[in-house]
Amino acid sequence: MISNGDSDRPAMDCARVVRDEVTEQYVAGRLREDEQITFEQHYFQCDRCFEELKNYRALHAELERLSASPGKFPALTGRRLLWAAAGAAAVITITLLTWREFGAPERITPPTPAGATPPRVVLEALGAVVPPPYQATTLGNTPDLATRAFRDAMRDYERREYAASAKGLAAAARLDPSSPQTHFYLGASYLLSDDSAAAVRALQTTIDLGESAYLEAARFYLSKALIRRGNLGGARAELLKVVLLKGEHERDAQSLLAALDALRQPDLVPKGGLTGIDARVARVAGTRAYINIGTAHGVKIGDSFSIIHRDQRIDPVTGMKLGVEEKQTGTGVVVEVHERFAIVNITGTAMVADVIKKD
Amino acid sequence: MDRSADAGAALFARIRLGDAAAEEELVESFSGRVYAMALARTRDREASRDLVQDVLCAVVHALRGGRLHAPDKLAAFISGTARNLINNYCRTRLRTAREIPATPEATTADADEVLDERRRAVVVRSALRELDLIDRRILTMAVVGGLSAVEIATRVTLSPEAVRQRKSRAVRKVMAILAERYRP
Repeated sequence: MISNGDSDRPAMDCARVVRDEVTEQYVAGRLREDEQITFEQHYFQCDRCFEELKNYRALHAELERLSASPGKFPALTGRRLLWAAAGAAAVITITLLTWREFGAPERITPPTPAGATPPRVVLEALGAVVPPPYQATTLGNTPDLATRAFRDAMRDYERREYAASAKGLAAAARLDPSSPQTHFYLGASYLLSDDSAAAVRALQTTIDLGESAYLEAARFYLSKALIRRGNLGGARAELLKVVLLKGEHERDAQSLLAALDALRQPDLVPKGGLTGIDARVARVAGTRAYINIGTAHGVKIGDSFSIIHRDQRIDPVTGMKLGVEEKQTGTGVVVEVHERFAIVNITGTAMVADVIKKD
Repeated sequence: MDRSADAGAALFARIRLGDAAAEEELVESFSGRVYAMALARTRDREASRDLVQDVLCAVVHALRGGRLHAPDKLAAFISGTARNLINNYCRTRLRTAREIPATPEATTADADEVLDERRRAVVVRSALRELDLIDRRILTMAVVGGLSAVEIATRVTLSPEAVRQRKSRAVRKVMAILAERYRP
């Protein structure tokens, strides 16, 4: 267990630390393991670089705190807000609704790491994924070998045969390692065939390839893969990036972040799963919202609801809860109803976890 | 503490002879570094504080038992030991019962770390208030979000080069304010 093997590693010097912004990368957890070890060995002996590390750590912590403060990223305020519990519940609800919509085979049950504290039901909900949609495109010219391999593999993907699509896409990726699309669907296929370690690698490759149409989605699905691996810190970091990208996964990422924050405060997670949860918005898709009540709760087509947004106000000095501010942000009319959820057409705005009140 | 090879070897020799002051010196000198490593690897402040004590207790016991094969490489020995124990913790996420009770020195060093973090945070907060809003936003996206200059550029309608310059200038300014106003 005790080793002094560090003495044989190549040394790092202060100039390289500054030039390569090593301290910043270290604090953000973005160094490779070998670089991390070399830097640690260096700052264990260098007072100047250790002092800089402490400064960067303070800067990182403060910026993280600011980015999670009310007004900038409201959904990230969950640590102190009951809102976060609603967010966690909403994520669970979304997942349950998704399972019903797409069927059980897509459900991924994350392994519960030894000693992990989050409730299993919450981890299962957070780690579940919906297959990213795929629209085949046909081009006039003759496709090359890699494109043909990709298209063949995606036919398996469309048939929901994800182990087969993963195999085909891995072959396509070998033929064209520079295609973000191939690596992205490869990552998704791994995730859907329950190989989260391989999913992390493929999705990280998609991100490493730089700006592409798959960048935001790759980060979002990478967070799912990391949750399944039990790496909630890594998942949180990826979700923060998704929020900053302000794309189509922004709201889902905010909900997941709120849920992860709620996991840090176990008392905020509703005991007994969904039992006793108020009617809430579970998912928003354009002008439609999914709500977590259905025929089992007496909901009928044509019922109308008010959509209420709740904000818990916190005293910035003492951290005490001052009260809840409620604001009606829209209305909804039920257009489709199932046993435990319903779809409403919304007028105004709705966010995941908003409260639904029957008119 | 002098962290040179000779000083490390001298400290090891004193610990081997049962010098309690030398052990205190070692704990005071390395607890901050072990905490920094634990925090970077676990992202968990509470676990990191526990790990500092575990690591330093293990190191002191190993040194008392003469298990440092290259006395001139004390810092490397401590960083290697720390990494092994922290990685073990990350792998299992289960705390094992400590065989050695926490020393009062470790507790004091731990409290110092917490106080240091808090005082540093106050200075950083005031430094950030002195930055332009756009620079603060760039810093947040780069440091917290991990976005590249190209990604940030599209969101703040600046060129990637301008983003790089502004970020670098903002970091330098915060660090300069910390160097000027923070006294450990």
